[in-house]
Amino acid sequence: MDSEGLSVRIDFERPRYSKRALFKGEEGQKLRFTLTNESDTTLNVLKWHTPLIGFDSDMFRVKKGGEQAVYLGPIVKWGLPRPEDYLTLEPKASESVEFDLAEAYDIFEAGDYSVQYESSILDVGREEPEALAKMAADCNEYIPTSVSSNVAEFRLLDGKMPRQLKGVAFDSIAQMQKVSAKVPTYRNCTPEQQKLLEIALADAVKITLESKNILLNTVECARSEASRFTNWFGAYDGYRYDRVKSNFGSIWDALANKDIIFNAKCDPELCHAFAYVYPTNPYEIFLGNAFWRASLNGTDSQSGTIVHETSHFYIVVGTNDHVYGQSGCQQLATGNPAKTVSNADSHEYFAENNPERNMGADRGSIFVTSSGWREMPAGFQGSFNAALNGDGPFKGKCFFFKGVSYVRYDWNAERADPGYPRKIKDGWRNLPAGFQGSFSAAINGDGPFKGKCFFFKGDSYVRYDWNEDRADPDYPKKIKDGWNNLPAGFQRSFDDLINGSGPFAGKCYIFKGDSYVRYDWKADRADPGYPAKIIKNWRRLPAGFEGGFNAALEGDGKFSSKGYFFKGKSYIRYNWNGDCAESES
Amino acid sequence: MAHRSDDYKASGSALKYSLIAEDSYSMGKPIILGFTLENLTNECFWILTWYTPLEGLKGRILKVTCRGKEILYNGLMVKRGGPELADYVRIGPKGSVSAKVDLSAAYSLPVSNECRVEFEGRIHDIVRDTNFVFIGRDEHHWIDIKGNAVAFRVVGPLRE
Repeated sequence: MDSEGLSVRIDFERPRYSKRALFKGEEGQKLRFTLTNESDTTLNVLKWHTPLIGFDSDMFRVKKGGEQAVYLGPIVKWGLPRPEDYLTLEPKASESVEFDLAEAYDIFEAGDYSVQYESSILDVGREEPEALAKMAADCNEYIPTSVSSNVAEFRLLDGKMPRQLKGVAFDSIAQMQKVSAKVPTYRNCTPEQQKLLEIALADAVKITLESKNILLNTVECARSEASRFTNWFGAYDGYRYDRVKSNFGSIWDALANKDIIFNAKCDPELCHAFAYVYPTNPYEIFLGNAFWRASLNGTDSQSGTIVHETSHFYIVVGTNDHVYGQSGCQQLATGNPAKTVSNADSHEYFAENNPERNMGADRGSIFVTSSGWREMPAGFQGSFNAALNGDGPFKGKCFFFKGVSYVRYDWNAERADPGYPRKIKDGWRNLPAGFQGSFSAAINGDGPFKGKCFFFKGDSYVRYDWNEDRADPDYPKKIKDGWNNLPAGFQRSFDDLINGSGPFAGKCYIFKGDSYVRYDWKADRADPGYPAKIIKNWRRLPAGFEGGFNAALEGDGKFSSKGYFFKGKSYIRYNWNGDCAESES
Repeated sequence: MAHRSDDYKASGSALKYSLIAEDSYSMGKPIILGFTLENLTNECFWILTWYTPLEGLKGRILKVTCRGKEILYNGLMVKRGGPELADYVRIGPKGSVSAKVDLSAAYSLPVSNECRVEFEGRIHDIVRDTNFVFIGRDEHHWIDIKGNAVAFRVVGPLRE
């Protein structure tokens, strides 16, 4: 047999200006392999151990520095060659094939690589394929010809996860999650593909469950700063948020509880895709080459693709592909956020969460009193004893008390009224002796006590009538005699009180140290089950505010859904509807 | 992979599309619509055909309504991998490209006095000729272009 006359060349497609081809981490390394008959006679070549037949052995040296990339492809033990396993090459003719090197080699670390084809062509001859095949069968032995190619170079611009490690590390995860994921149906899948799919489905269940839960558990106050949400679904909007939350509930339910079918046989025209579905045909997912090349998790991963495809089924969410890709989806979130709730990739990227984004801070913000409350006079920029909204003729105002003085603030103008501070005894009429300053707390009555307000000091209180603009006669009284059912320890020296709003209207909250009691205005008694710790039921309080406050004030006008808590020179905003401390925005 | 310079982001007014339909079609027979994409500028563009009628119906890119009700798309939906050169089509200055799609392959249209078809008008990647560098799907920038909707009748099958 004549081994002379064969040459092999390998080429990457590369930018004109560059010596080497450049690839991004996840895109694979497309390589063209060309086998040429340099001789003047027709040659027949056995295609085994060349890419012309696909990967059947470790036929390339893929190196980065001194390190050789691990071959992950199959090692085929061939039987006897058949005539059709031979390729006929006319003189000077070539045959070439393009394939993805990353399919067979674990190429994951960023850097410069060299590649060389170095293998043996098992059988080459001038004889007809039939004759060569018969000879090979007769002697049951070939005389291999060593062939090596030029060295091609490429650069991997960014790294990815090694495929080998994934296989090992995620076996145990898949094991753990087997309970939650149903076994899918496999169509046209090899055992290796089934194993991959089992892991990918378990991961898809995991990331959709995590998505669903984090959407459920993120309090409203955190949502506007939840970059993981806003990045993919646009600025926070309650309706859109709820849609996405319910979408993930549906996707999770489908993945965890329905009969998912994976079909590895793709329409030839679509095989280069990640995957496709017929939205009217749940839950069958057809997988293409890009899926098998993708990593288990990360951007455009296997598990993310499963989430994407599942969301397409009409019975699940019925998403569309309005746009694709991370930058396209971000563009949609900014320009047309309403469409994101029906865009598949937006859901995929939220679930993949790569690069990682959060769902907002765990705690609300602390604000500086002197910046949030404008034109407060010197000495009134914090450390109030109590705060109170005006009512009756004084509606639209609020009052801050400190020592023997007070300041009036205008909710609409959002600034302190000029001419303050004034002495409490000059502005508030008929206050009994000993009740002309140093209140510990103040609150407006509600329900049967509307139109009144109450000042507290030590174990006593005074009731004030807004319309009469004077303290009611026969006060002070003992707190324990006028306020019913207060637990021991809550019958004197409150820090302050605040009226609930929204879902908490009709109640007032009495704070003392790190605890509070809820009082019902209509029943005129403290609700049972108190005191409770502030930290237990007031959500997202910033550090320092879980232990209590100096003063509390209901918002009014356009701020009526908020409560304000003051401590030292700082304050926080509490959102009654979201039941959480707000963030700066 | 190279990055493109930013000036490829042609504005949506550089292109327009037209949908063309017959006045009426027979139920159960092919419903062929024409689609033309026109370059209104004197430049040359490469247009990604994904999710446009130029590649056929491979996504929910058309909104079909008959008797006021939206008709369910029952074709396939694809999550693409990396684009290939063949996924792009070149349109010269003031040039155009056309394609035909068969609606009946992906929609079951009932007999109706008026069925209406709209294309969402999105081009998922557009590159100036001089700038053509192949980039990954994640760097594509979509634009929305304008065009017309079409309406037609669907009549019952003729008795043989």
